[in-house]
Amino acid sequence: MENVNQQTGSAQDDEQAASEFLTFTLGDEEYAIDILKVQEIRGYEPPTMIANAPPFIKGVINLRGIIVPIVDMRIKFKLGAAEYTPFTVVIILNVAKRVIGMVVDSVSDVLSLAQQQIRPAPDFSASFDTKYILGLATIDKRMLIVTDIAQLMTSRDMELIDHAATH
Amino acid sequence: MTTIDMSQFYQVFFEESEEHLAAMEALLLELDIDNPEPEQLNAIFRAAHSIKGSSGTFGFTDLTDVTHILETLLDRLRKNEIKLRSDMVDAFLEAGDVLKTMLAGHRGDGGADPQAMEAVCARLKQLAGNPQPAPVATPAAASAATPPAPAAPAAVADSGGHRSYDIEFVPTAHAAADAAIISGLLDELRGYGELQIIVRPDPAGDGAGFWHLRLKTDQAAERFGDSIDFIAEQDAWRISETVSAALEDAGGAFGFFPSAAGSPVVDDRFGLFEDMPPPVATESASPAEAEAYGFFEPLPETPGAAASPAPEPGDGCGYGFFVPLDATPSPAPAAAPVPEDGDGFGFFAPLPAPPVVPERAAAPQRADTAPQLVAAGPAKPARAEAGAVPVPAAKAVKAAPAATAAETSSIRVGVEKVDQLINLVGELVITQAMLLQCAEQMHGSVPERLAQGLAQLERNTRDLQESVMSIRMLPISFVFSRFPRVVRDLSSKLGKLVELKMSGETTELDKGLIEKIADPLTHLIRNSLDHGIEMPDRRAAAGKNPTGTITLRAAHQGGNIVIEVGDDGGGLSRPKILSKARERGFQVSDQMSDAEVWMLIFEAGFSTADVVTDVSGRGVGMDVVRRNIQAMGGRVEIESMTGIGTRMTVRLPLTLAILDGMSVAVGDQIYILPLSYVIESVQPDLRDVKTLSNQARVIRVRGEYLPVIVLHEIFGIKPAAANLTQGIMVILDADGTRAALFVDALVGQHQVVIKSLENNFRRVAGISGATIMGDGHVALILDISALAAMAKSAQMAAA
Repeated sequence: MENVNQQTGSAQDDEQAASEFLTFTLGDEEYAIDILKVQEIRGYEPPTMIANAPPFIKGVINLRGIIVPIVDMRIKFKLGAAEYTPFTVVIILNVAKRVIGMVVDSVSDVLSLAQQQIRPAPDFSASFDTKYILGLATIDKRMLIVTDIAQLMTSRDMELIDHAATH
Repeated sequence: MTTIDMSQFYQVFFEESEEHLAAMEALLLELDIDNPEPEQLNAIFRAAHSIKGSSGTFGFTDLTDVTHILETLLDRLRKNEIKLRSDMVDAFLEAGDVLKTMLAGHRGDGGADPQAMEAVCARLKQLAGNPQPAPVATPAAASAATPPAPAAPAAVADSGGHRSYDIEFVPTAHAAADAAIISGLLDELRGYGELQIIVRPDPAGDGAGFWHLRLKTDQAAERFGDSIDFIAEQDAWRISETVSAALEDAGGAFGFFPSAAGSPVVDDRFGLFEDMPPPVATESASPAEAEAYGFFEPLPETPGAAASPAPEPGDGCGYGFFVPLDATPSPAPAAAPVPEDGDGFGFFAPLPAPPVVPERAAAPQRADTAPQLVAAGPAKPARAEAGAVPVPAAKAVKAAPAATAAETSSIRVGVEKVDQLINLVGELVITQAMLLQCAEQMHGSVPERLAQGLAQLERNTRDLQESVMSIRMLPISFVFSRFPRVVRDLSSKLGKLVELKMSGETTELDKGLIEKIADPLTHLIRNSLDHGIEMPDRRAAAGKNPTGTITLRAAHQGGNIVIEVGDDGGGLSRPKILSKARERGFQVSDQMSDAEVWMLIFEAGFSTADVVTDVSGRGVGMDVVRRNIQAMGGRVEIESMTGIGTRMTVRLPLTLAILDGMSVAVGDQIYILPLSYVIESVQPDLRDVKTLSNQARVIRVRGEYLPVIVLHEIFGIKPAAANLTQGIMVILDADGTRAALFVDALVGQHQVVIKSLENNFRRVAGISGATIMGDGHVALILDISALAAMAKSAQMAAA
């Protein structure tokens, strides 16, 4: 089943040549996510804290009348120092009909990646941050970690969504 | 001609029919069986009749069949031919239920059980005694029952005599000038039978103008035709015989005549015309509901010829606007452009060319009949709505059924539109708060005019918000109206005598809450009936009135609506609840206060009923009730006294969208407390704060020890007030138990717009929602009940 999916997926990608990705940095690592999942990019403002939430959930902000949760990926992935400077950026994502803000160190690029440029990542088995990695791509000797952001944000690990089984 | 897609009106039909059914049920339940008010019977009849009319129009013949039988019985009742009995009311209610399921079936959810339908029909027929009431031709029995109702223009085909004539004429200038001549004619006609003046000319017009009379007599038209001929303008009169049962209310249908050229009085030429043959030609006992009447132009015809054209029986209910035709010598039916099974009407433009001869239109044509005559104007498919044509509106209101009249002053709007409006107003409230806060930060340096403008804005915003919210407000009678039926059915099933007293039905509540409160309230009432009210013999033995009373009361209290369900039954039994709770393994102690004990009945799986009935006793109801009410931001309390009764009080916020909140500071965070929970706040004195087992803290307030909820401990925030004496205690009333919430400081009081936290995030324990403050920051709204529970479990864990 999975094979079939991959085949159809790659056939589609060949036709469409490439899709666009937004790249951002977390510490020393550079990530790429599907740009169609990005609603907007804005500066960091201190959110309203939520009691008893895990440390990487910084709280909620008011985004033009909508309450949006903010997660700090640096804390979640233990990458770099979670410092908030005037240059700290929040990527507002629109995934699974939800609006979620994601704090990153900086946004670097928008670039096209063809399917063949994305190589499968070596299997680190169950460690959670590799579960959501679609592959690795190399652009100008930079290694980009291509991430399935929708799946990551809706995963149980992020604690952003009520899961029936969680308590 | 245009065919109209009737399906676009189905929704309106369904809604209207449901309203009629609800009205009918309410009226039935109010009926005093021994001494029914004629007006109530009439109203019930009208409701049934309207359903019949419109279902016929829309081709739902099964509905028509049932309502027809229902109507036959009702008609005999209202004419005092048979006496109302309680089994009839039962049968009517049952029929109403069947109609509801049939309606639902047509809507596409479920369907009617044909057997139930037949059973009801058979029962109604049997109650009516005579399934096919005597045709009109037998006047003997009927004449006794003539409703003396000139005011309620009744039943053309009614039993006042053999025949009913429509007399229309325009008096000569001479006759018109002398009032005595006209009144002499009227007196003469009264001598023949029952006379009803349907249209009289405007008195200001010197008596000249168009008269329309209706005479019920057993005389032939020739007997009085001459008298009219004498008074009327040359050829400007007509007598037409109305065939029995021909006139029938078409469920609020009517048409207007535009003015015709060459007629003396313009205003009176507008008229309502409603004429419809019943689906079954033999049906006689359905005297047209009063709304039917029409204006007709004088006819230059001989009485003999004029008397004959009677509406042709057809099975649509068509109606139309008729206009004088130009000189048509013989009775030519001006066919209304009747659409498919036609509910519609058309405008016929006036034609010039006098002499004007509008023929008594055989309005009810077969549905497929194309308009045979003048259709100069566009046939407008539209719901009959009073006021659609400005000039005759006043008459329309008079003639049309009340329901139609009401439409003139209200519009149906989708709820989503209203919700969008409410959202926008919510944004406006936030923006206004933001401006106000900006101005406050400028302290004294705000220009006076700006300050005034802001104050004005604040007032206007609040007014706007209130009026927008009021759009969503519905009287709670929408919910209450179902309970008489519930109580009636259930009490007879349980063999109890119960009277339901309701008050405050006009109290208004948000539509969303109305929909959600219905189930919990039904549960509470069923519970009171089943567990509260005792059997009649036990009540008598206890020296009470054998008839128990359930009171249902709604009222506004501050920003809340309070709904009480009370009964004068046996009350809750404390030992029984406690023993049952122990049996179920709940943590209970004999020291628990009554209020706490009573709250146990809301626990899942708790039932003290000895016998599980199909009414209650499975212990699933009450916990659902509490959960539903809490989900609405409300709470429920119980008061009970053994032998005296039980009262359950449901408190709900007025609306789901905006609440009055008190903002409190804890550390660097601001939280909102729903104001309705706040009783008072006190500066704690260290001597009043005690610990239990060195863990749980209590505070003594007015001689009462209250548990202390320390917010910064529960939420893990670093507080500004580390010491209990530095902060402030807010005394809260959470679900009947009081507690003191310790916070750093009180900040202010605002109206806050509730925003969902769960749209983009998940539920957070202790938080019921979020709001946006004036400075654009998010503040979280505290869930008091959950906090109290959290504090309790935290203390238990600590102990």
